[in-house]
Amino acid sequence: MDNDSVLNDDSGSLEHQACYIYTPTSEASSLAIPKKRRAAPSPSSSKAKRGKIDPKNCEARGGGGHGFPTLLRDLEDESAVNARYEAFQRLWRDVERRTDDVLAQVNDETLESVSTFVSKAGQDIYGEKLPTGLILTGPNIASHGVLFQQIESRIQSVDKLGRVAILTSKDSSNLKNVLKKIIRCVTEIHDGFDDEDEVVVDVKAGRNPSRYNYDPEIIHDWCSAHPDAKVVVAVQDTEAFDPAVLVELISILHQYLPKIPFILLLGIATSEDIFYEKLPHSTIRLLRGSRFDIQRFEESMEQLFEEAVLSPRSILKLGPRVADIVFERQKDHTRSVTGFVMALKYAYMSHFYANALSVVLGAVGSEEEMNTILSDAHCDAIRNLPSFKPFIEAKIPSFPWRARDLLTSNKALKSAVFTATKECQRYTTNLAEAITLFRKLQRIVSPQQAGEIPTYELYSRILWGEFTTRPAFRDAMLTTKKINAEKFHTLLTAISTLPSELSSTLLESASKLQELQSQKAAKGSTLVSEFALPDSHRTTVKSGRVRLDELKSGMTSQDTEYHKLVASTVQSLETYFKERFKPYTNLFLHEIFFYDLKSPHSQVFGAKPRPSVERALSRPGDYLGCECCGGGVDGEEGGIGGSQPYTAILYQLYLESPALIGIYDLWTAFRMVCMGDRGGDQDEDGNADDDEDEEEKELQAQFYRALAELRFLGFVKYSKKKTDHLVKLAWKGL
Amino acid sequence: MAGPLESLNARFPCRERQIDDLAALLTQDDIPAPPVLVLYGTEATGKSTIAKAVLDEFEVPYAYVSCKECITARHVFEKAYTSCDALVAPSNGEDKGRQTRPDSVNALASQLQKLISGSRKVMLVLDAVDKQREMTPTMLSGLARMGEIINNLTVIMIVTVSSTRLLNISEPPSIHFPAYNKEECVKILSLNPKSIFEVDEEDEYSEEMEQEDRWLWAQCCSAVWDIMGKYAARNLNALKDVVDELWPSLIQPIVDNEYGTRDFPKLFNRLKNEKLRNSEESYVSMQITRDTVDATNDPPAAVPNRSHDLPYFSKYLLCAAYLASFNTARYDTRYFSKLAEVTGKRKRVAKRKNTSRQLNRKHLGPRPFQLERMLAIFQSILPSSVLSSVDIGSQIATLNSLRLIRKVSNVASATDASSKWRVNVGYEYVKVVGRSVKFDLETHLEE
Repeated sequence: MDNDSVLNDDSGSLEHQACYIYTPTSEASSLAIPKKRRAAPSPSSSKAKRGKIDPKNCEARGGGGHGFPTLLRDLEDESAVNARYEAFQRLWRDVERRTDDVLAQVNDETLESVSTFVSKAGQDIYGEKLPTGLILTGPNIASHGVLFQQIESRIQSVDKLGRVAILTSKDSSNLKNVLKKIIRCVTEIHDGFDDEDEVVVDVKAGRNPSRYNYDPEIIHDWCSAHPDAKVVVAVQDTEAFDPAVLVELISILHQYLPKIPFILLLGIATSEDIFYEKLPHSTIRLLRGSRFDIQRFEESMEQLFEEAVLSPRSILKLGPRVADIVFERQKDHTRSVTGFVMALKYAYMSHFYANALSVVLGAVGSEEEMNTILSDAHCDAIRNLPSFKPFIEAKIPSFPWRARDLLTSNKALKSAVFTATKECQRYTTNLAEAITLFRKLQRIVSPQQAGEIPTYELYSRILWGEFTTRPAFRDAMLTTKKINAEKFHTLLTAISTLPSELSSTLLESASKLQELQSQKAAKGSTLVSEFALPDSHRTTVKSGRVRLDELKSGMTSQDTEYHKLVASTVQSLETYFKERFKPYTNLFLHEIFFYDLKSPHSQVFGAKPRPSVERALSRPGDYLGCECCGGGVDGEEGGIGGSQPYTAILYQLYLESPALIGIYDLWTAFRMVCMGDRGGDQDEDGNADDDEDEEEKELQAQFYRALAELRFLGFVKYSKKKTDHLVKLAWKGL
Repeated sequence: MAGPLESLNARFPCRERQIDDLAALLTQDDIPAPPVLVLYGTEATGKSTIAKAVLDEFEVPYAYVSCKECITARHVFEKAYTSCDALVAPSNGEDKGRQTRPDSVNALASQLQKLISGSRKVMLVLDAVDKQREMTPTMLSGLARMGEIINNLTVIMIVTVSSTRLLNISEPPSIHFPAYNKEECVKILSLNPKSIFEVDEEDEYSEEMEQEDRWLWAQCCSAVWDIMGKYAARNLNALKDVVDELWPSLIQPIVDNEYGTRDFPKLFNRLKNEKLRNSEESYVSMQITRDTVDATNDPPAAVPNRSHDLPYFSKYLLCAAYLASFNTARYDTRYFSKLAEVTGKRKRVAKRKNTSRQLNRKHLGPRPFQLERMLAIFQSILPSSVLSSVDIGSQIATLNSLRLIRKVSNVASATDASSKWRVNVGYEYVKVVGRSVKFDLETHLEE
């Protein structure tokens, strides 16, 4: 009860302030922080790591103005902190540059074709029709703005075909505003287009006072000053654009088409059919043009993944858990490429921010640098890594003295770390190589399967090391055996071009196959291996066997040779993959090279405001961390307790009530909870004690305040049907 | 050589009466022209073209304003004034135009009176004046009576339908332009046939080839009219569009030397089988892109359905929105409660079917639903539960800006639980979306 009174006092003195700084007492903080840690359990985070991330030890010193904290219980050097920051900046900038390149390339093809369309569109092709480009942009709205900016800069600045006016649904309030915006976009002088006759533009640029500011004749004036320029009107979000205004706009543009070379670009996020449904036929008849598809999400995502994660130049990799979370969110919620880049950046940020050992990543490749940057504290931290234990245990049977050295001498450990970084890098390079090889194989052997599972979904399975036991892998290997000789040859040549240690053997077998094929072709038949023999459809086992024997007896020596070739190649491929697809957890220092903390990502990217509010109100103990507010102490369900905050009590009563709540009923229940039996006694006795009366008044005030808070949070509103009743607006858990 | 009437008639066949009337009413110098003249007829019957041509041919000064080009009524007045101004006093037109900007019919009339009173006859052609956006009730009759106030002015109004109510004048002089019938259409289109072969040099194009072109073109036009005239190519322009569209593929076999030019039935049959069978729709609804016609030959995989690009939960949200729109709320427990028994469900549905003669819900259009109800349905149809998060909210917002669902009520906050929403796409689309996440819409949908 002590604690409760403290809390209430606090809120009492502060309740009239708009905002205040919460300064927990030392007692409260020591209680609250472990609670919060427990509230977000992350089984993945190892003990050693948790020790380092523990917020108690994080003191934002901001030595270099970067705000990175000193980790390792303040034992970390300032230079190490700075090195971490610099490593983050350097590595992320590299990744960012490469992802930006990929993203720029993604739309390049579309931009190119749109630009050619604009340059070609004219009266000779489309006659009286308004040239129209339908740009199927896909439903990821966030990327549309970027795309249309790119189109604008491409047409206006790079190819200099004319002016672009981008319209969004915000402009679609009425036709006048739309035209005004188009005119403004066209006549305003931008840099980089027709600089030489700037003066002419200025005179002609629609400042002619006899015209209304929405008169398209202004554009006509501009066009007569720029005879070759085209006027592109691009509607960014056609779906949200008011259809009535769009129809008017199209008819106006069409009317002026003989005077002004208008071109219409429509961004369509859903589908063409929906677009056609919205416009009347008479309007559609005015339009003619072509359609442009931007690259689908899967393809661009795949490219980006290969560049940003698989590429050996990205030193920090995503661990399987984080990868799962990131890609699942992509699939279920966002489907946006930029969203992935953000998630990736966050992974980099939190890794370098919270993991002291991430300095190692900055010093990869130079032993000297690593030796200087790693302090004793770092070495101790490395010895505490979970991956250190299996590493040292593996050393003990064969090289016990080495193991002792590693435990006692920091110098030995540092050199071991350096070799381990090399090892990790080799592992990731090999992994990327093998993944590309496998993808290529899959695409040739069973393209359908390859289309179903994108690379980034394979990635986490492979990292766990269990991919080689999965049916997908076995299927791929089995079908590789069964494909015909021609396909097998294309497969061999295709995958032997990829850099891998197998390439020489593969090339060898390819040439051998070629030889066999030509020998066989001379006889006028094709190569058949035993694997490729058709499954018997005979009813009895015996007759099937007979049939198989017949087929086998028809095989020539080349066929047997070929059969052996197929068997050995597939065998070597399989061992290659099994060798490469080992779990990453086997590696020493994998904690440094793989970022695999789940909870930061799930909390930052999938914020859950409503469940949090509901949880706070229904189980206030979780957040307050005091003993009195039952919730956290009792375990599962807290239930209502008089000591809880009033809003929480009211909320729990509210949960138990039907859709229409009488305020008096609620108040009675509320008083019961807060004042307990005393209230009941008082009613029976009928003698109103002054003290109790006073208390009840105060309680009533608190009740109304709590009610107002619930109303503010959007849980209830006053009913219009019945006086003094509330309507329930939100159900828990939705 | 023939007089202006003959040359006009040669250029515009099947319009002798209208041309005669126009010429008689407007071009006689000794007879005063009527103050207002109404030309009416449906789309693509030659009203504006012939009016302009007649006036041009007889060299009558006229000012032409296309009201479709104008955004507001004031814009019409301004254009009418400036064009008349340019007509009467071409020298000082610009300076005057800047100072005066009529913003009502009255102002226009008084300014025009000042301008025109001294000059000779002036025609003011107001094209598509009934299609003007921002129509005020008195505007048309005001414009029509301007000719009565101003002596030398004739207002020619080109409208789709003429009625006395339109102008509030009893029996204004009017000329009707009826729609062309089949013979007339073919005759007009035959004026400019397209050629079968690419003509490289002038001398190669012989009389004989021209005849072939004409014959085949006319055949093609009449065949297309027979097929599509009723619904797709109702007027001359639409017919011309379709014929233009089909022509290259029609003559392709001739260019390839498969058929002779006179094998029209064979040619047309082939065209019908190849093109029209699969994609007649695209000619009827006049799609913007034509490459879809070729795409029908390719496997359908070439054109991936974009709706599959929606995120997984968005698809379920859309299904939930559809169900919330088309199911009645009081049956929600039956369709979405996990406790409801299957047998009971079927029995009750059958009973209701017998007694009620209601229309299928699907045909009555979507009804508004509360956001909270949609979220509840969303949770119940999901195979696994998901906590509501920022992501779900943003997906609802995305669906809204894609107009797959839209908000009906004007509640301040968009994600207020009690705000009313409505699904904005049809059954077919949602069904496809649902199928892509293996959700069977039908089982949850009310009969």
